[in-house]
Amino acid sequence: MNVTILAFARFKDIFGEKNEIEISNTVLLADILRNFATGYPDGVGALFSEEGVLHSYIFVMLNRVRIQPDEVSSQVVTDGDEIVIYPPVSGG
Amino acid sequence: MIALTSENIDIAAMISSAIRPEAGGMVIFLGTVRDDGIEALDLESFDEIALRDLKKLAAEAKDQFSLCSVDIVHRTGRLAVTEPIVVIIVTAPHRDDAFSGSRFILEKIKEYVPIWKKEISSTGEKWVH
Repeated sequence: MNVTILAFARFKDIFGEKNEIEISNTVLLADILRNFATGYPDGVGALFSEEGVLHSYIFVMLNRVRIQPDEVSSQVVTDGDEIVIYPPVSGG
Repeated sequence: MIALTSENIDIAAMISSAIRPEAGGMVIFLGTVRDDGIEALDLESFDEIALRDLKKLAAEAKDQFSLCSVDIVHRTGRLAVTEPIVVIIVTAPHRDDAFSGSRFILEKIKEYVPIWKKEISSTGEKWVH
């Protein structure tokens, strides 16, 4: 299946603004992000702790809906979905 | 008005349009670029979601604090020191609600609305998180 991943701010510097990736072996959001991050030198550390847990301060959206940190590992992704990742915000 | 803009914010026009006969108080919050040894700030936003969040926040604040009106305009793009970053104007029948509503909106913007600052200085660029 194909999934689009958008990144903003610091994550855009690491991953690029938009990636369209093909996935064949996993459908869970956390696993997709882990596999995606391994393709970038600073990718895994940017998203995951040393224990392999997604940093709780990271915002993740699936099809423009926020996914709570404790739901990322069980969230199923389907063909054509869009994932958005961004670091803590600093507006205002 | 709830908006993101890369243009200068007309604060006087926002104040004029926010005046309500039923409001006894207007609180204006103006966030500006502080000189922390920087030359400028670059503001990036996830426009669709940031605008959606700001509209939702405005509605929540109106309900929670019985506000008469809420206006939020947030800048994007490059800003020089002292330039406005965000203008929040709320009106309410009484001042306590206006102060509380304004603070509520600002703190929520800082909590989750997808807008980011990048500091531009002579030594390089750095994201603010």
